[in-house]
Amino acid sequence: MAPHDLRDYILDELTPEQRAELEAYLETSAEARGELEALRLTQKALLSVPDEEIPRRIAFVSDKVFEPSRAMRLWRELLAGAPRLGFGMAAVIIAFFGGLWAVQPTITAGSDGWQVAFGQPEKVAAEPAPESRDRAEPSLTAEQVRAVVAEVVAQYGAESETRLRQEMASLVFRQSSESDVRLHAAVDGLRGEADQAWRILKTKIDQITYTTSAEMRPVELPR
Amino acid sequence: MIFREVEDRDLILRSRRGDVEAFNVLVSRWEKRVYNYLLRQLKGREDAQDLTQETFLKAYQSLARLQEPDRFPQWLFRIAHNEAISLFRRNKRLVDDEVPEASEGGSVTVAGSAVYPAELSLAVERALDLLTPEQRETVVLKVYHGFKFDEIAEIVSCPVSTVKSRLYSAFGALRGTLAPAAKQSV
Repeated sequence: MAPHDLRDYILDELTPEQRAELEAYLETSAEARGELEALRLTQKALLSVPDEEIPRRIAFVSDKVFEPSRAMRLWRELLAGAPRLGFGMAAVIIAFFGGLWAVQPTITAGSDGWQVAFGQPEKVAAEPAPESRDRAEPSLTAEQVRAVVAEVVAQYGAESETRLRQEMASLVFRQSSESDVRLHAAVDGLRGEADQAWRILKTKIDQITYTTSAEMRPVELPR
Repeated sequence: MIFREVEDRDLILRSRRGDVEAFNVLVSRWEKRVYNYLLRQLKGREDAQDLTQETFLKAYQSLARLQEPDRFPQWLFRIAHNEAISLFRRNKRLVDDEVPEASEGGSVTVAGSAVYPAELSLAVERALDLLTPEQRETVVLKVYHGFKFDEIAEIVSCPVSTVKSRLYSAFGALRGTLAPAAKQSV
């Protein structure tokens, strides 16, 4: 009996070792050789029918209207790799929060700039002494700090928006070169105002000590 | 062969980035094979031409979902297979009518002592017509396109054992008529 199927041999599905075993067997069996010859002739007959040429060659035309945009292609590629992307993002998020949990940072903004401390804040620093609390100026809560920031941002934001709208309105129907110059000037002006707003905001922030920790604490004005 | 695979992979990656010309090169390499695969399934040149075009259009649209560019041939033939199945379903009534006609006579005969190439081709076509569509497709993918059993299983979406079974029974049916014809061919 043949060690392997003759059809697998003729269809090239055997490993080199299996082929060698079968060829050794074929040397000993005239019946197997006859069967193999019939299969070879069958395959030869099938292959005698040649492939046809395609009647009309296919070609696609690049049409920008129907092509997906660059953003859409990127999005599709992202979707195609969604599982990998998901695992990657999950790993980054876990690493980030795991790191935060491990080092327990405390961020402090004082008159000498921002400071980051790792580990549990010292008891003395976190809890002011009773006598110093008595002598402290009225303190600002986090809500009050947010209110101050919101006030500054709203004030300068509204002014900037009004000026920008006025500039844009005056640019309508002008020559493009002149428009460009005026637009750049307007942008420079707004940038200056934004810098000024930031300086004022920073001055206000510098006047306070803002401490973040697991427990939100009152913010104290400097004495 | 290795260089060819690398080039195909490069063309696939460029096509994914929206390079239509790269995709056209890919089409020019594979269109004849896809067309002949469909032609042997459908028996109509117009249908085969239309479905070849449809196959490449769908391939272009879903190229981003091809996870492994090295498996492009199986992936492309799977699209073509699905297109053929869809057409079969659309024309089911017509196909059902044609099957008894094709099997009329019951067997393939080769007349005379010598068989000329045209006669042999005709005998092959008739012998293939006697197979079931599944057997015929398996023979076409194996003999004419050289896919391995596991690749055919991936294309037609069935177990490898089923592919083997279809192929063995198809060869059993073909051998009886084609082996004598091939022996007498000049």
